[in-house]
Amino acid sequence: MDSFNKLKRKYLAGAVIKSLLCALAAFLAAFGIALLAFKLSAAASVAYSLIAGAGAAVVAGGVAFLAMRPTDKRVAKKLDDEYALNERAQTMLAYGGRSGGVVELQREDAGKKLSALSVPAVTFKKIWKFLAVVAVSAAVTVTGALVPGKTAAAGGTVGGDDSPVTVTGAQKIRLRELISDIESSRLSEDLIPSFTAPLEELEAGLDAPLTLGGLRSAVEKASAGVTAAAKVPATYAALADAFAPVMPGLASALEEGGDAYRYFGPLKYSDVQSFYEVSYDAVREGMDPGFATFRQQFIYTAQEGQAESEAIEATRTLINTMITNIQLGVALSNLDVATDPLCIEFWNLTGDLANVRQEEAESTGGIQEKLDSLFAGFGFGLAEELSAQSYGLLLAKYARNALAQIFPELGLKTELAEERRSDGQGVGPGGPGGQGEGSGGDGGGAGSGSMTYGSADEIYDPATGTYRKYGELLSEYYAMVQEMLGGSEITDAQKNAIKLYFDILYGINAGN
Amino acid sequence: MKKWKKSNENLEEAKPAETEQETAAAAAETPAEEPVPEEPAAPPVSSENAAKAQKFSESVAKIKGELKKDVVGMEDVVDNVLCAIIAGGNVLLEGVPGVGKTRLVRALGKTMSLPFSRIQFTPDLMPSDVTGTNIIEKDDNGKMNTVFRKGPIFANIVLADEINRATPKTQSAMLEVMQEHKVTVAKQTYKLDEPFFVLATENPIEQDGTYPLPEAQMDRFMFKLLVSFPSQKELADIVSMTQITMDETAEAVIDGATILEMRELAKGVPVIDEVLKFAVDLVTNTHPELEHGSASAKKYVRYGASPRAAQALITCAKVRALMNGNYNVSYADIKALAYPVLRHRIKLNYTAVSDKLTVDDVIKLIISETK
Repeated sequence: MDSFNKLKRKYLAGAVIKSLLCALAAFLAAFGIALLAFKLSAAASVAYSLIAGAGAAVVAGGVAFLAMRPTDKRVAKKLDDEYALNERAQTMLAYGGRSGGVVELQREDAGKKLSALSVPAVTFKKIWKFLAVVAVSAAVTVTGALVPGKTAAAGGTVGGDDSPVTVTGAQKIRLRELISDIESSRLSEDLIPSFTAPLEELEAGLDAPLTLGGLRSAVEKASAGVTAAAKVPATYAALADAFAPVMPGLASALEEGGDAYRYFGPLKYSDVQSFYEVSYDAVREGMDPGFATFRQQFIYTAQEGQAESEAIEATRTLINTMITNIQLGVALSNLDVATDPLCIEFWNLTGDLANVRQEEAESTGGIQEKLDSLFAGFGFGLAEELSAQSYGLLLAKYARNALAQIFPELGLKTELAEERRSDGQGVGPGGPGGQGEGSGGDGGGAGSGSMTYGSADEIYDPATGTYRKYGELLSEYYAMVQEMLGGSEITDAQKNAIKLYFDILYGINAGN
Repeated sequence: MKKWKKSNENLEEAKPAETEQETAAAAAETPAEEPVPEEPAAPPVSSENAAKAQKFSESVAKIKGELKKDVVGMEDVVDNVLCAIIAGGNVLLEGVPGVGKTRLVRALGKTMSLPFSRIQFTPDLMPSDVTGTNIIEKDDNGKMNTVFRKGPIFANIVLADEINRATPKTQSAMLEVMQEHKVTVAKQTYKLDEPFFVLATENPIEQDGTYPLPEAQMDRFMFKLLVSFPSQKELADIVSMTQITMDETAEAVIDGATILEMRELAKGVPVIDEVLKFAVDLVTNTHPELEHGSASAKKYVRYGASPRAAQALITCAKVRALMNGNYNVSYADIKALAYPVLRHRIKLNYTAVSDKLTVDDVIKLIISETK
C-alpha cells in the first residue's frame, strides 16, 4: 500500500492544483464581470469587484476540490484506467484487509505494478482544459478593465462619487463671472461680501484635485452660503407675522410685497442689473391691497353731531393706538430696530405719526391730508425695502441656478418660478406670451412656452478639428470674448451688447 | 513483501531454510538446562499459494505446448477448452467436420493423463449405450450375477460427437450425467471420477434427421465454441503434419489431481464488486422483457441468458485471469468470455435475422451498452 499511498498523494497534489486553477478562473471571471457591471452603471468600485472575485474563488475552489478530491477508490480506478492495470489497484484496495490464498499474491503483484509506475502529479494533458478556462476568465477581466466607464465614455459626465473630476477652464471663468455679476449688482454694499464670500471660497477650492463627491459638497456649500446671505435681509416675514393679529392689512402688504420675487423665473444677466426697477412694480402691485387696508385704519370719520375738536382728539387717539401697535409689532418681530431697514421705516413712520399727532390741527381733514402725504412716503419706502429684499432673494436664486449650470455634471436642479399669480400673469422679463429670444421657441423666464435648445447640437470646432457640443464650445468662446473685451477699445454699449448676446445664449442653454 | 519476493524468486532456498528449521527443531529437542522444545515454524501460507500459482502457470504452459504438437491453430478454442476444464464445465463445439475436434479432445486427454472416451451419437443410440447397463454374467462358480457394465461415459474426458443426432431421450441421459457427474442405473448410483469433462459437438451442416438441443439443455454447457475452417497456412501445416503421422504425439504433463488443484486455486481469485456487477448487468441486459434490458436486447433478442451465464462468467473469468498470469478478475476477462458463455444462451428474433446480425454481433452490442 505504500506505493499506492504515494500515488494517492500525487493525485491529491494534482487535485489541489486543479482546484486552485478553478479558483483563479472564478476569481478572474467574477472580478472582470463585477468591474464591468460597476463601470457601466457609473459606480465603478474595485473593492467590491475584488470581494466578488474572492467569494467566487472560494466557492469555486471549494466545490472543485470536493469534486476532485482523491479518495482511495477514485485513485485506484484512475490508476487502473489510465495505466491499463486490469483492475489490479481496485482489487488490492477492496481486498486490503484479507489474507490467504490468491489475495496475497494479487496484493503483491499489484504493489509491484504500482511501484513501477511513474505518475506525474500534473501533466499538460490533464490540466490544459483548466488553463484554457483561466485564459478565458483572464480575457473577461481584461475586458472589464479596458472598457471605459460611464465617466470616461460620456466625456466628463456623471461618474461615481469617488471618481476624480476635472474642473475646466470654462467652468472657472463662468464662476468668476457669477461673482462679478453679484459684485456689480444692485445689492447693497454691505450685503455683497456675504454673497460673494461662499462663491470665492468655492473658486479657491477648484484648483485642488477633486472627486465628484467633493465638488458636489463644495458647490452645495456655496449655494447654501448664498441662500443664507439672502435670507438675512428677508425680515418682512417676521414683521408680517408680528403684525398679523393687530394689523392684518399691514401684514398682508408685507407678505404679498415680500413674496413678489417668487413669481419671477430664473434671472438672466441683464435682469441682475435691471431687475431692481422691475421688482419695485411687482412689489407695489403685491403690497398695495393690504397697504390700502392698513391706511384705512388711520381714517377717522367724525360722527354726526360730534364737535370738530372731539373728532380731532379722537383721530389723535387713533394715531396713538396705531403707533403703539406698530411699535409693539416691531418689538415682537425680534428684529434689530437700529439696523433692519424695514424696522427703520416703521420706526420713522411712528415718529412721523407722532409729529402729526402733536401738530396743531383745525380739522380731521387737515390731519388726513398730512397722513396721506406721510403714508405716500412710507409706502414708497416700504416698497423699496421689500424690493431690496426680493432682489437679494432673487440674486441668491440666480446664483444657485448659475452654479447648477456651471457644474452640470453634479445634476443639480435649476429653480423655476414657483407659481403664477392668481390672475395667471407672469411677471418679469419675458412674461406670459412674452417674446424672449430663444432658438425655435418663444418666451423666456416665467410664463415661457416650450423651448428647444441647440446647446446639445454638435458643431465643427476648427481649433481641435472635431465635432463638439455647442454648449461646451459656448463657454470657451465667451471666455475668449471676455479677454478680448477687457483690453479692447470698443465702447461700453458695444460691450454690453456682446454681453447681452451671450446672456441670451446662456439663457437658452440654461434650460438644457 | 520481502518475504514474498524471496519465496517467489527462489523456492529452492526455502528448502534449506526449512531444513535449518528442522535442524533447529531437532536441536531444541536435545535436553538442556531449560528443556523447552522449540516449535517448528510452519511454512507461510503465502509461499504455498505462490507455489500453487507457479504450478498453475507452468501446467497451463505445458499443456498448451503439448497440444500444439497435435493441434494446429485453434489457439482461442484451446484456451477456452482448457479454461472450461479447469473451471469444471462442459463445452459445446460447433464446426464443420474435419477441423480437428476429436483430435483436440484426444490430445487433451493424453496431456492430462486422463481416460478419454468418444461417443458417436446416432439416432439409434440408447441411453444405456451411454451410461452403461446391468448385465447378467456367470461367475467362476457358474453362478449368474448381475453386473453393471459401465458405459463410455465413465471416463474423465468424453467426446460426445454430433450430440444433436441422438434422440432427446439419449440426449437427456447424457446431459443429466454432465450435470450430476453420476449415473443411476436400477437405483444404484455410480459416481464419475473427477475431473469430468464433456466436449460435445454439433454438426451445423447436416441438420436433417437431427434433434436440436433445447435451450434448457444448451444452458448446461459452460461454453459454446465456434471452430472455424483453418487458414491456408494452418491447413498447409495440418497436411504436412499428418503426412508424417496421424497419431497424436502429445505426452502427459499433468494429472487429474493437478486439474483439481488448479480448480481450487482459481476459486480464490478475487473479484471486485464493480466487475461482478458488470457481469451481472451483462447477463440481465440480454433480457428484452426486463425494464433495464439494453436497447439491442429489446430490438434483437427473443429471450436472454439464464443465471448460469452469470455463474459461468465469474467462474471462468477467475480461471482466465490465472491463465493470463493475473491474480484478479478484470473487465477484460468478462468481456472476452461473454461470447462463449452467452452465444448459446441467447435466442435472436426475426429482426436480427432480417438485419443479418449474428449472435456474436448482438453480444458485442450488448457489451457496448453495459457500463
